[in-house]
Amino acid sequence: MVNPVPDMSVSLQQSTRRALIGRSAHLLSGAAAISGFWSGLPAATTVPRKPGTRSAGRAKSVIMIFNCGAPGHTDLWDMKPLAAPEIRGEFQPIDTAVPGIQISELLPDLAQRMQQLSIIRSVHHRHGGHNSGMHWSTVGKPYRIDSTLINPGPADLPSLGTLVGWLARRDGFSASVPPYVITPAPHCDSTKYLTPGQFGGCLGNQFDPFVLNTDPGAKDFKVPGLRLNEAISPERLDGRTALLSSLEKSGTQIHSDLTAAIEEQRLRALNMISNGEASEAFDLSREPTEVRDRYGRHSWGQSHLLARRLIESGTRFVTTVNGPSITWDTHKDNFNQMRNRLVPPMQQAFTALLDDLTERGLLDETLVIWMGDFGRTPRINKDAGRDHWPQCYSMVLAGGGIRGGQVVGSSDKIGGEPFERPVTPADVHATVFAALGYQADQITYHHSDGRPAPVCDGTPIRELL
Amino acid sequence: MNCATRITCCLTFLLATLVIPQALSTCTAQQKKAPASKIPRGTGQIPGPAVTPVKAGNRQQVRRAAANIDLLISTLHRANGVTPTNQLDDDLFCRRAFLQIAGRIPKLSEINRFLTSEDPQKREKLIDRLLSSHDYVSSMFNFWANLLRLQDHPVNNNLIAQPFHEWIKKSLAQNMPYDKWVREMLTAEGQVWDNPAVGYTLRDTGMDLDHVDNTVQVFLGTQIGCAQCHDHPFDRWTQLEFYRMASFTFGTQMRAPAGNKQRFPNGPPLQRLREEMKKRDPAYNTNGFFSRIINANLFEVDSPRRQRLKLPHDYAYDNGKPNQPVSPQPIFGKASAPKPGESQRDVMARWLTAPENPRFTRNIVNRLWKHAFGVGLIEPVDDLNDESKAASPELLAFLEQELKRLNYDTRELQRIIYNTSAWQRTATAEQIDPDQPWLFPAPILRRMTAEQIWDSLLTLAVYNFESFTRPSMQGVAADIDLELDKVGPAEVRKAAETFQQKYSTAAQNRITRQRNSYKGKLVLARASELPLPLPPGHFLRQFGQGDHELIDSASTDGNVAQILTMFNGEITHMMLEAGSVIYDNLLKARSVDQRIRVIFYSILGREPSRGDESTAATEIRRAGPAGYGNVIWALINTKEFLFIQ
Repeated sequence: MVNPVPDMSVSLQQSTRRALIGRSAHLLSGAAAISGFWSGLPAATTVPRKPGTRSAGRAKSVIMIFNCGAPGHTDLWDMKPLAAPEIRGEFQPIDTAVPGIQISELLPDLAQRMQQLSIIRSVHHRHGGHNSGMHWSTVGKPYRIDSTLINPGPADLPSLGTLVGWLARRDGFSASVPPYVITPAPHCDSTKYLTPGQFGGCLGNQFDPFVLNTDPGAKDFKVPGLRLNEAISPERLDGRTALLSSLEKSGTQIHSDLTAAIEEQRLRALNMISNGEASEAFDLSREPTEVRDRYGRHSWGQSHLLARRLIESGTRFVTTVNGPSITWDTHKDNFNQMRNRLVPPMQQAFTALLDDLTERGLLDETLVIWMGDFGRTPRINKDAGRDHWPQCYSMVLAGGGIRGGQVVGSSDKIGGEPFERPVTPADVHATVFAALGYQADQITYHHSDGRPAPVCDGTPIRELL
Repeated sequence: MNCATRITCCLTFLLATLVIPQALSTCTAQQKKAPASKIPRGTGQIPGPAVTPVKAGNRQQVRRAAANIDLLISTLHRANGVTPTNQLDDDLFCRRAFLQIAGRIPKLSEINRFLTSEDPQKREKLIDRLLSSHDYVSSMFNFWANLLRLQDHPVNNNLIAQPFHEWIKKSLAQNMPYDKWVREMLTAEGQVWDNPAVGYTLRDTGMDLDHVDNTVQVFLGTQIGCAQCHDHPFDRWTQLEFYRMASFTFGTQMRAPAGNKQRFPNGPPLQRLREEMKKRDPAYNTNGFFSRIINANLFEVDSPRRQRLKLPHDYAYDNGKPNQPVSPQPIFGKASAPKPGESQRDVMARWLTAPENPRFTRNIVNRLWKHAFGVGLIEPVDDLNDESKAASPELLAFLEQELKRLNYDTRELQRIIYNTSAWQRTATAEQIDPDQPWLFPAPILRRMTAEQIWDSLLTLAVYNFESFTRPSMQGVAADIDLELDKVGPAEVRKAAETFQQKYSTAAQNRITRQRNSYKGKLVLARASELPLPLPPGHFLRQFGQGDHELIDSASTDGNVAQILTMFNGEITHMMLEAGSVIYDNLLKARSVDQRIRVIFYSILGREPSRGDESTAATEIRRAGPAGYGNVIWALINTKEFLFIQ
């Protein structure tokens, strides 16, 4: 007799949840180890970490704080107190811990930590649309059109994060967390138009970042699919995967390149689900309350905290997006929005991250880079706002062996154009690659049409290394 | 006992148990009252135009053409020493036919019906039935959506393209001849709700030159894009030829000229109506739907009255001068002179779709062949050139000749292809060498497309999911079509509010979430009835549905997120809940053996092997009722489920 109502969805609810490290081993053929799941390519090509410059090669991982919508450079990092009132705006400069360097009064906490920061005040590109602007900032190259109504596709050129993840896997990445993560969501203009470049693009979707797509600031935050459904015990998942592998043996055999890739991805997914390490890394509830409070109990703060946890577990690149959407796009009421809504949580999260990394001794090997789509117009518009300004803006770097306490480049009297030492986004990327120990101009990837291209064609900023 | 008889036997057995489901389910309900299912159920009615059936009377002709194709392929095989793969058994044929033509796996009842039939013509009859179904319309819509880069709001939010998408579905349902269909898209004028085919041109609003490039690529399988900026490096096209070709359509007006005094004597409509609205009610926000509706009404396609295209200011070749005007001329062949009242767009469309244009027919034949076999007769399918040669030029010529004989009835050509034994062979996982011609030993092994996976999962979980169509834009003209120079702000406001309530993205989301979603979140409608493009985190995008920015942006690559979703995602959990189709079918079977059969037939379309059976039975003995769920979970995660053999 068969039980009349098979209850298929729930079983073993009482069973305790146990860490499952290594439990998926039966899916592996032979004696392959769990480590090395993320390395997608043959390990033959290791990258020489060239010595040379002092600090090059000291960084192991990168956290990119991306401020979506473009924060005004002249209101934060590049003050123009001597310019006319319609240019300089409402905020005053203040002194920082480094004599001679001043930043905005909105950033007193970061001013105290100026020893760790390097500000580049002469970054510039030529795309004024949000998504194409973000593309240029993060990919280091223009998009084929200057528009915000664009989306990622399989021919996209890879962004800094994609490339760092790709290189990590090329070099035998072996952590159980993914090499490249975006939290909480991709940068975009409205949720409909996502910036191209931040996914695998022409490198293939196996190099897509792991995207959180959920709010780490939420009370019941968890990663969809990553943690097992409450009704499914680890033992049951284990049983199911065992069943899966025996049914694949007894059923119709299918073999091709594609199916081989699936087997490998299955192992990685399973490793993420069942390996304690990965789900622990994503589990913010393991942090003490005071640490969580220090970062700020909001999406930005908790996202920065998650970035730190992931880096600790081995992730190589985390993009933490200060969004949602183009929240920094202050065409109207710029000053009140900056003062009340935007800068405080940004500063809180950034500061907490710097302090936390310092206390844990991780700042030296973790490069933090702060940027946005572009800058904002030097001249204040009729709505007390500032509009788009790619001609000149600021980026900030810290840690990862980068020399702090300095300003690179300068802008003209109003922050309109680079004045000294113009720097392109690609130059900043080249600096990041150098800090990671890569000779970016010597390593190539292939565009979707087969053309080879160097990982980065910018010039490293020697003052920073 | 041979294989086919064995299957029929088992199925008869299975069917016998299914004859009494009524009693069983009643009995089950009494024993334990099942909780109300969270899975929505469709009514079984499918809105939208009826599908014109294929002509049963043509079968003889179809058979003859199919036999001719097989003859040409076996000649090719003999000449090259190729051994083709075996013919598919009935069970795998059934699954392949459904996935190919209907875009989903067969339902258990459909498998039963096919496998228990003793009609010797059952394969051709199944092909005919599927080609005459809404499933076919849905599946071909996905095919074209990927090539035509369909988006609900291309270029900007003001532009409404859904009536165009509904028109494509209608054209497929009514089986409009392909050449006529393309001509209508290339020549349509007016607003999208009056003449939905204008959606084709509006898709490329503001991109006049790219539009030419896209048209030539999709309908002639030819790449001239490089020549937009310089002479083509790998093909024969010169920049001058590109400009001459572009000159046919360049300057096509996509928006009514708001500043034109003759057209709008009362002044530019947007400014006028916004000012009038502000006077009437200063608090009213004219930025949102108020402006959107006016802008939407401004989108209309009008053929250019005079040619305005000039060579670029930095034109660098000897055969022309910078800024020199260019007169229209096709990239090859000859265009006829415009007839009275015709625009150059009409001339271009006639040239492009003429039976004498070799690439027009070759392109679609090659694309449909690839759709069926996974590889085109010429590869890549969008880069035909003077040198490209098919593995079997005779076969290509025959297919082209057939399509012309059929007056561009592409569905009939597909019918012929699916009736060949060449197509009915087991798939091959053999690697394709891009430098060698592919000799078609069999269709290649392919992973299901994102749409096929999604629609197949719905087949397993949701009753009558075909009924969940998108809220229609049929009545949109009556609600928002405005005579812009005459209307006052009150009418605009009314139209804006109606649009917001009935047709806006938010309104459509509200309707579908209430009517056909799982827990108010996951909308359960087949891929062709969901918004375009979907957000990147959606199941379909995860599995490779394209963003529809570039032509053919879909992919069937795998990634980790796909696996996490299949292992542990919402749709997987839903399938294992009471009230899912597979769950209910399982309950109707009585013994463990029969239940295992239900699971295997439902998911893989075949009976379990002896090994399968014992593995599954052991699992069910071990885990009890939960074991059924485990077996279902395992099977939808097998490669066999994802791949079309």
